[in-house]
Amino acid sequence: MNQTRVKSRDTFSVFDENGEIQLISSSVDHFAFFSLPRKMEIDEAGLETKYYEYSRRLHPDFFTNAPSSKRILSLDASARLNSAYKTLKDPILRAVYLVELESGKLEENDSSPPVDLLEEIFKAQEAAAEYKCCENDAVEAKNLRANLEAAKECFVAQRAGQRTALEDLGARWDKAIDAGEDPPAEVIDRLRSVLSLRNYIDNILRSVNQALEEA
Amino acid sequence: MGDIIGIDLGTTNSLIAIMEEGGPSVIAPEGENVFVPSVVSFRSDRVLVGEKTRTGRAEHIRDTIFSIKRFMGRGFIDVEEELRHIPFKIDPECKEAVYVKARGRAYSAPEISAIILRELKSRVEKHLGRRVQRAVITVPAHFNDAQRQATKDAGRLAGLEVLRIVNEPTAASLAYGLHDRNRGVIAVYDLGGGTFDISVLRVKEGIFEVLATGGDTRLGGDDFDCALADYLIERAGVRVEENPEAVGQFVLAAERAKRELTEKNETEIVLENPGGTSLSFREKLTRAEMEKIISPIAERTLAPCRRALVDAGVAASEIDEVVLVGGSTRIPLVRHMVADLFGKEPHSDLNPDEVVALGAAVQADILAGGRKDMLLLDVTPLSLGIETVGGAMGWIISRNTTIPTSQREVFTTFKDNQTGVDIHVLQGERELIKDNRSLARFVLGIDPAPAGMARIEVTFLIDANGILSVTARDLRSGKAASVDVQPSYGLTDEQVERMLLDSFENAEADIHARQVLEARTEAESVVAATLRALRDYGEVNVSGEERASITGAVSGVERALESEDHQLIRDKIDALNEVTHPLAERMMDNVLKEALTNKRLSEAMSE
Repeated sequence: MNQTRVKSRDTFSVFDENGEIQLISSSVDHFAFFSLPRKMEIDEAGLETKYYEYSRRLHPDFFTNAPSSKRILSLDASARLNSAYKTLKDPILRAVYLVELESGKLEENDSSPPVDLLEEIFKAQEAAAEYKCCENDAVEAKNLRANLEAAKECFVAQRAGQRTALEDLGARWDKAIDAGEDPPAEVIDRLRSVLSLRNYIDNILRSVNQALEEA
Repeated sequence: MGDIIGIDLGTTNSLIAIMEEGGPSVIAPEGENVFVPSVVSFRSDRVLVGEKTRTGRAEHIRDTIFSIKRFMGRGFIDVEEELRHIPFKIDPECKEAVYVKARGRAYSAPEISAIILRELKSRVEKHLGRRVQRAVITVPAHFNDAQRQATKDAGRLAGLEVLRIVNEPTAASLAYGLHDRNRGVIAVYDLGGGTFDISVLRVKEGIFEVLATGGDTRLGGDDFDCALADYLIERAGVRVEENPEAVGQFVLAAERAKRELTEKNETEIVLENPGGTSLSFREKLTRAEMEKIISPIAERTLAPCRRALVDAGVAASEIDEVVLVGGSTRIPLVRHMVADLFGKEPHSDLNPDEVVALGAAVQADILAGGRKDMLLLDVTPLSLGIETVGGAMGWIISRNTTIPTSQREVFTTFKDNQTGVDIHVLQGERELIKDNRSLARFVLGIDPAPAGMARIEVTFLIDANGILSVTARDLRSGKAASVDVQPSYGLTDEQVERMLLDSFENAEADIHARQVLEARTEAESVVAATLRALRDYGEVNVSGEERASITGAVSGVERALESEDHQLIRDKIDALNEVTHPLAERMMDNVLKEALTNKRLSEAMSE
């Protein structure tokens, strides 16, 4: 059992020297779990290979006849593996995780949507609510649906724009890490703002989609 | 450790498969059908199960329980509207779980399922010539936590250790996987007697990775029968609201007609004096007429399919193979609909009624260590969340997350010296909790402190069965916090215990098996609690010497577990509790300590 508190990304291994599963403390982050550097851009194919390899070694299916302590280690380690993989394989989830790891949880007030976007958001929320709850005649329903579709398009376009911004910021982040430096404060701030705005837009999109689906 | 059997506990039929030399095979006693109808009939002097319930079923229709799977893990309010088509009685007094009434006694859904499981167990034991204690049981992929737990409870009541709950469509894909029929991205469309599932998987190098799953646990062949029965009742022009026997007979006749119309284009329904009425009913029905009646129901499977594709991130055209599972996929209309949706002919090379049980046997073989090249990575079908301010859903784990998975959340207090935080856990996709399924409520025990000072970390863990457990600790002290979980639907542990006592036939072997099972379960939870305490608290607070004595005691428990000696297991658990006692003491705050003087570490920490 590993008794040292794991901070450095290089020292953690899921398995001990005998190939047995270790107790994984909550101080081990997802990057450390996969022995990856804390960067925005990662080798996604390599991650998948490692995920499958670890799954074959950690999954509870292979510990049915093992002593119960090993079964529990397998369960906890598999749960960690799946959470870590889900977070790291998706570029957005990965970016949010990394930014939160460096600078704390994203809050709603990290983002300040531009005024025109805010207006779009309010309009969409109103349309979604009306479309869902009210008895609309056919013409009205058609109009509302068209409004919702338009709003959806606008938000999807917004997200595409954010994607480019995220890539640029991500590249600057990684450059700093490669140089052995901390990511610049300005990059962190802008990432926080873009990511939390994205989160905000995702929520709106979700309710717009739900309204469209339900009606 | 003995055999592990695969069980398909179906709405209409149940069956068992085991792994044999040549591969998985379904088993049946000489001269009998492999399918055991999932029907339990309470007669004056005995309880009949399966095929035997057919004789005299019409006379005993009110004491004959079928489709019990639809009631697993549900409350009375959920099933109220289904009662119209059910000839047996549901106890309206019990709100938190469905109890059926037969011959003056109330039975929970897991108890009825356990009767079916016991029949299956005795079949396989006769076939193998030895006792069987461990099983894999399949459930619809879309089953929620309570329904899975109810299935596990049923196994326990039948004297089976349920090693794994496997999703039916994924089990089917494992059976196909053996035949190397499935590569790339596959869709499994599973329409059974009572439930519908769609699963999208990627199969790569022996890993069966479920990308998304969707479904409806109240949509299946039974609904076709009921719609057809309503049509026939209307044609007969009789009033049968007050005559459950008559409705029951119409439903049985509808089911027969549906089967015949799968092969033929026309059939005739004949009913003489159903339920003691003076009615003499004779009616021709064509396949086209039937399709018109059932197609609105069959179409309800399409939306979950589309959603699963979106969740999986694949287009219908990217699906390499479509597999049909479940008896209702024999209906030509259903096959056409599926072919249209995916733009390719679905296949069902393996018998759609047997393939799930075969897959369960494959999973059993994997668990037994027989197969190491195949691995199933399944997902949780429903999002998990907790109630937040204003009745909104606070998301914790999203649907289609690969299991096992865990998520930690930190909670605090709003009032000074608050000693508990109420947490309400739900499953579902809607934004408001009132539209989702309540799973459980629990209270976190907290040391008194000024408002907002407490920091309680709660870990929500969904295991490989898709079943949730909750643990908590106080982040300021590292101490374990108590979690007292009250399930919203279904049975508490104490209720299952009591049913176990009632159900065992007092044969010595049964009692012994049960005692060993119970001791094992307790040992597991004590060892789990100990390891997690070491993980969360042990890094800085446990000396090498203490750690060595704790791990020594853990090994002692594990050695005892290899025996069939429940007393030895209990002794070793006590020994472990003794060496962890000082650690438990240090972990408990004074207040908690007072409240829990007689409780041990394991109890304070377990779910």
